Amino acid sequence: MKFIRVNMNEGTIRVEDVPQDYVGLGGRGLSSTIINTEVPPKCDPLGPENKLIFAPGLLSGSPLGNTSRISIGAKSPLTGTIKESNVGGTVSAALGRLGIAAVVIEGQSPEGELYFLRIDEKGDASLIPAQEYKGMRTYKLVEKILEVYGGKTSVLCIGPAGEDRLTAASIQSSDVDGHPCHAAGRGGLGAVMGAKGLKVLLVDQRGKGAKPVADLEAFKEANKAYVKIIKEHPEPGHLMPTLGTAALVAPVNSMGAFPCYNARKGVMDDWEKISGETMAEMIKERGGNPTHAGCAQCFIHCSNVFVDKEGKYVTSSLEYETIWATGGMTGIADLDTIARLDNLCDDIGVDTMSTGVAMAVAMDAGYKEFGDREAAIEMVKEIGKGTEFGRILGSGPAAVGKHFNHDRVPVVKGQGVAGFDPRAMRGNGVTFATSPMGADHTAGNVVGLCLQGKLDPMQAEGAVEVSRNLQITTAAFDSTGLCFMASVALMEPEPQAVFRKAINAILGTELGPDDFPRAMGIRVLKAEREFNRKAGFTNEDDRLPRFYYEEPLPPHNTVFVISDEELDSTFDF
Amino acid sequence: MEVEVSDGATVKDLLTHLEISESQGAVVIVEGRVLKADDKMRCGVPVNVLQAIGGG
Repeated sequence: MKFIRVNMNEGTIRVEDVPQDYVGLGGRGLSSTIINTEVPPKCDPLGPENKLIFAPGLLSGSPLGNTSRISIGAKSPLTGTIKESNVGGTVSAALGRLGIAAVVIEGQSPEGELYFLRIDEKGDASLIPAQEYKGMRTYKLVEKILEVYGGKTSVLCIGPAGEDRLTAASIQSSDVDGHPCHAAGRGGLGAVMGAKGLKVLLVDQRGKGAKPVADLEAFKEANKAYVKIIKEHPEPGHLMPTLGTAALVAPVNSMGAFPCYNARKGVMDDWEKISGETMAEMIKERGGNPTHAGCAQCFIHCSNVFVDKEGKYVTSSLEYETIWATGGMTGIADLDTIARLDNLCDDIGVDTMSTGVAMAVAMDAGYKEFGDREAAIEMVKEIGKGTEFGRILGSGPAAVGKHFNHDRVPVVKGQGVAGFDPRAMRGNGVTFATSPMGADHTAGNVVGLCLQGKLDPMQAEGAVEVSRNLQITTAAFDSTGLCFMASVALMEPEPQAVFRKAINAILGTELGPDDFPRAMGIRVLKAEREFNRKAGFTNEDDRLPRFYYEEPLPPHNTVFVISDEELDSTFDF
Repeated sequence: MEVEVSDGATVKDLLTHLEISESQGAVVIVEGRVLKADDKMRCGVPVNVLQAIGGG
């Protein structure tokens, strides 16, 4: 395995063996360790000292299915913390097949210059001047790239928002159909890519073939069991291919934990109009695809292709968090508007979650009415046009709150929350408050345990411990490239042992139950927490905004009750 | 839809009546609360029967 280091100051590329200190790491574990080791914690996230890391999971490119997540890391311009934002698509497997453990982007290209970084089928990297693509939106950009470089090309790219260095800018990832519809959305990493002068990372998918498997016989046996576990699990095996993550709309509203109208209520009026069930029916009726494989080597098919009334493509994989942020938070109970907003965000290259929450803050401040569909679409279009308001909106909810001098802003460490209200699902309040990433729905989400009856969502006691364990497990899983949908079937000891066998067979390791996920997850979290400490973050930053503690959320009319002392014990390991 | 179950029926009874097996991962939510298998149903109160999901 090798590292590709790109110096954007000089336009030089260096290939090296994986440095000894990083051996055995992949995905989030690798990106976070590189940042903690090599990036000055107090540096300007949009300056030359920051580094942008693309790290495929440890198993990406191996024959094990559903391991195609890539971790993208840097110091975040949105939060000021360390950041890992992982995304699916096809690029992770393509890099894995080429034996590339990480692509590290260093320095900053001269002002005004723009480049593609291309990695060809031999794994050779080159920088290509890309001035003619300046300002181009992602769909047109990827279409042109596929014309020039061929269909077997995986793309990570930024849109105008990233070039404008807006702090909610995303990095978009192309799916199996060549649509840039998957997003490493969180933390404004698109702005870091833009600041480096990098428009696109494109990777040839025709690498040497799958990673060599260390023990083929052991792998075959483990793989068979792994596939069986996932296919027989009701969620990845049945629910995901039927409704996708949008399946969450109904249960989270039913629990009264769906933050809507800028988190003023826990149940949205007319939520049935934006539920996963409604979406799947609509897609089927119109001739779209409710059961779509978005990522390489996927056998779950949680994605969908949403089409308009004429059957024309609008967006792919309309997901729960996007539906919640751009529909729930804004009070827009209309899937066609939500799908349009998703498409616009992907095309401009901005995080749907931050944008949805940012629009909700603007509406709450009286700028527009909740539920105003046209106003929402116009607001997002302004990001693409680069207007003054567009630049504020594209900088996330905190920037919008500051602009309107409005203090009801649902963010932690500057990052907008996710679609689970901490007042009605307290464990997720712990995760939002304490995650080294800022508020994050993928850092340790308790919703599954709540719905399985294993954790009372209102219960404060034990919520810290549950969040701690989930944050550890998630950090380890995020290091392997495993997708979240598969991971839900692997949370119990027995299936986890099967997954561990698969890892050991592929990598030739001898990881035991103490090593994976626990020790690996703790190592990752410690590196991330260490970076944040050095960057100036303290326990006082591990808090939710005041209104969660003071303003009861209907219908339960409860507040967040977990004390600061309890929150501060989250990382007692 | 309306479902008739016997007086004092539990969540488990309701799921059996609806022919939903345990392995299908159903969750029953009433008035914003996730119910357990042995919790009793109340007449006339709307019930949401959904499938459990771990996030997304």
